[in-house]
Amino acid sequence: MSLTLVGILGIAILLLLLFVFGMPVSFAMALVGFGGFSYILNLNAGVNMVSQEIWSVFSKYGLTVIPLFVFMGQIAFYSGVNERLYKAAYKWVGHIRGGIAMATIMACAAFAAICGSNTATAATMTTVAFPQMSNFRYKPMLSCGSIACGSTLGVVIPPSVVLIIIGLSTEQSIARLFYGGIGAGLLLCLLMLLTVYVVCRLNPEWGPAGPRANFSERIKSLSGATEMLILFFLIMTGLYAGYFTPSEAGGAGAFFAVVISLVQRTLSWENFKKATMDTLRVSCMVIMLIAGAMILGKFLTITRIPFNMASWVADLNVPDPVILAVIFGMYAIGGAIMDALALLLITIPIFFPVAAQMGCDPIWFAVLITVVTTLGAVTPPVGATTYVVAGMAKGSTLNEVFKGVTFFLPAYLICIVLLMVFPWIITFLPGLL
Amino acid sequence: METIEKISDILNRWAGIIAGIILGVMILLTMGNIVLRRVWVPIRGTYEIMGFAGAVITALAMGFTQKKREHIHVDILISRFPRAVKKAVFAVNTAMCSVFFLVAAWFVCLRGMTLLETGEVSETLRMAYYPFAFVVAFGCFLLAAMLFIDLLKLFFLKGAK
Amino acid sequence: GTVQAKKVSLNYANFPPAPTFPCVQMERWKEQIEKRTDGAVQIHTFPGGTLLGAKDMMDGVINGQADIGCICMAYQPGRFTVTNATSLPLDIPDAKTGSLVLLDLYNKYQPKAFDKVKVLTMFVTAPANIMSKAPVAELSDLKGLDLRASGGAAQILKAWGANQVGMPMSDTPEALQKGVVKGLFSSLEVMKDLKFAEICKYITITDTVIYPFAVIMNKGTWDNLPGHVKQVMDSMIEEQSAWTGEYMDQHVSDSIAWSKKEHQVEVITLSPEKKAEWNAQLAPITENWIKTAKEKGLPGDQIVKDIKTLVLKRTAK
Ligand code: NA
Ligand code: NA
Repeated sequence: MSLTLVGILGIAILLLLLFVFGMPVSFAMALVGFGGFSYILNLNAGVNMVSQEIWSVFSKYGLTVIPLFVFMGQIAFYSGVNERLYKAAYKWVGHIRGGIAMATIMACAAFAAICGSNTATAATMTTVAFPQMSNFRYKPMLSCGSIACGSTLGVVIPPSVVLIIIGLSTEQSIARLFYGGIGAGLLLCLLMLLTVYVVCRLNPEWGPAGPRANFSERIKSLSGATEMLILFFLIMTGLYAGYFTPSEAGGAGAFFAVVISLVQRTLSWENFKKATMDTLRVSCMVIMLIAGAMILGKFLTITRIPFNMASWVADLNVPDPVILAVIFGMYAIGGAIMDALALLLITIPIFFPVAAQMGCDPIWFAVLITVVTTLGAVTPPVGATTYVVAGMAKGSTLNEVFKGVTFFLPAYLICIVLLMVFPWIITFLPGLL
Repeated sequence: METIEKISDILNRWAGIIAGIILGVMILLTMGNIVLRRVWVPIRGTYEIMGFAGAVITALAMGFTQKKREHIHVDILISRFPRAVKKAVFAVNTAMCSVFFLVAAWFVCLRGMTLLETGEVSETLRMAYYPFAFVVAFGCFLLAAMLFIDLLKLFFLKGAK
Repeated sequence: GTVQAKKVSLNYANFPPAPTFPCVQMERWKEQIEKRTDGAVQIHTFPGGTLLGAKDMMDGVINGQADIGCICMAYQPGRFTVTNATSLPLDIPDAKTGSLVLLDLYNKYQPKAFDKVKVLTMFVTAPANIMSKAPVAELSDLKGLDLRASGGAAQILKAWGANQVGMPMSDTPEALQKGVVKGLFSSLEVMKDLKFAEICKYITITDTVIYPFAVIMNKGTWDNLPGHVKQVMDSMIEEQSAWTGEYMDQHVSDSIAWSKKEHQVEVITLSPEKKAEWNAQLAPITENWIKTAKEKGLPGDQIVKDIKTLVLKRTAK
């Protein structure tokens, strides 16, 4: 049996385990990855690969931001900070259909400016936003879709682990890449807001409009937002003034959140324990999802499907724009079945020279690929962000989350097309450096 | 059956307490490093310790995360199956995963043994770090045990699920 | 059987990103082996840690997750005691000399750490130097300075009074940009490759420490290779080592030239007196290593002496 066939079969079995057998996603990915890897090499190689991936994912320094940011979100949740923040937001935008979903997407964009990872953004923002959106009777489909897609801004808006990986593996200036991500991230954010607007025009009951608050009510409500604004301000300042790195921002954020809740005396010992336990469970769930995706990724790597696909595309004898379209299409499909970072590591060394030969601006190409792969973070069967949101948002099903995400797919497509037609959206800011 | 559950509850409780404390230490260590770096010298090996601590909290949480059914699964089709089929599928799933994580536990353990035998130490602090690998192995074992308990419950407890 | 029917296919895993020198030498080796065996061997390369990460490499190759792997021994202190002695501050002047010295040392001692694998080549990085935002000309400039460096350099920086900050390379560009660290201590190709010249305007030449690498093959795979393939691979061990060292040295001097031209980076060289003063601070590190080696039952004194002799021998050529 050819390796490609083994790979395709593996994906088919994964789909079967996931959708027919209902096996937990992280376990299913790990099992298929293990089985496939062992089949191609041997059992000994397979079990050793699994144990190595579990150890190296669990002990990865870069992933420690997940428990730390989640803890920050949980502390804010249990001390009522999130609730007060959303009450204030409701006074300002609650009367607009889907207004709270739009506010959530903007909050995701703001959080993306302090956090470089999709999954950490998703895990934190679900804690912050989902219970509040349910309070305002938003449909889980809409709220989960907004959070899942909004979270993908985590790697488009700097700091970004994906842009760093691209920068290191193509020897591009990371500062320039980050500047390039700003324009693309803002455009994507804008299109997502537009999506919410349109979806709620068509289905008003998904994001029901509340009463319009008068001006004095609005001003009064602002005091509810101060804690979160202070927290955000502290992290932003620390990050941009060089007190700490993005990897350390999670720890600093968690520390500040605890301090704020202690000063305000809004957190009981009982709730503090709950916040800790919830954090441990959520982080374990998220990190096991990542480990599962990595194990599956090793299997797909050894089939050499990503290498072969990339070389095939690179050798295509068609006009440049077609090649670009095929490359982006490949990332969209590849991102659906494979962890985005693993896919990038394999394909970037092959595609980057191709893009350079076509005379593409390297920064533009890198940022555009980042946007395309973030699409992969929300699409099944391997869509870590979606699973994180669905796993955390109690009272929603995965089905609803995937449906909710579907409404945002046009936003990604339009964003990609606009970035292709108007490259300056990406290249303008880096050009100023 | 009840004894097994009691033991697992105690194990998970302590795992939770220890992991919670380590989470607190991670926050203080990060903050301490940020502050001390500014006013004096950075704390040596922070980056290493954070990685190891992260491994420990994830590993210790594996048992009770499974117990609370935190791992996301897709139930679009399975929820429509008849009861007996559902039960059979659940049993097969759980058995496969239980065996898988038992094997994983064993091999992570072997990995720890390799670290011990070859005398490998961490890069900055030059400390032996094989014990952390054993904790991760223990976490995998806890998960396998929780899955196994789920399986037992399916057969021995009437009216469960 | 015919040669064609026995075509061997091998997986070669590497951990750093594709454009870095360990991957460049990997592609060169692949090309040469495929050519010199007349296509009897086909090699699939996996750069960027896609198949095996840096610390998983050794055991990954032993367990057959890849047929061939490239390890950086400095990432696993304690495991490769003999060969890691090359990263003591012993004045190895450049990567080519270092690579050949490392290989000579390996051949002489045949360390136990490599019992379970076949060594295909060894090479080293160019010596580490200081890249900083503010000029470093004196030991006093180093006092309390936060420099990003791998754990292997921690003792050296400490001996000079600087602070070693361990962080992943992926965090470094931002940490430098924002001033979380004030510079880094590593070989100089990163000035160009990772664009650190945009931020670090000063280089201080210390030429202190190199990091040893090895390319290893799974024993079972090796045993099953046809005799003529083994011959070709054996004949390339030293050649590949020298080639990689030369490539590395050239790459570093290109990087320095580029940094000077494009980013007006200033290169500070220490006078011989100053160099002696800096080196004096490092003497205890080597002494310590000798002590630890002896505890492990290794002839620490002799290994250090051998390295010094080998450096002289290899530079004389
Ligand atoms: Na971000
Ligand atoms: Na996906």
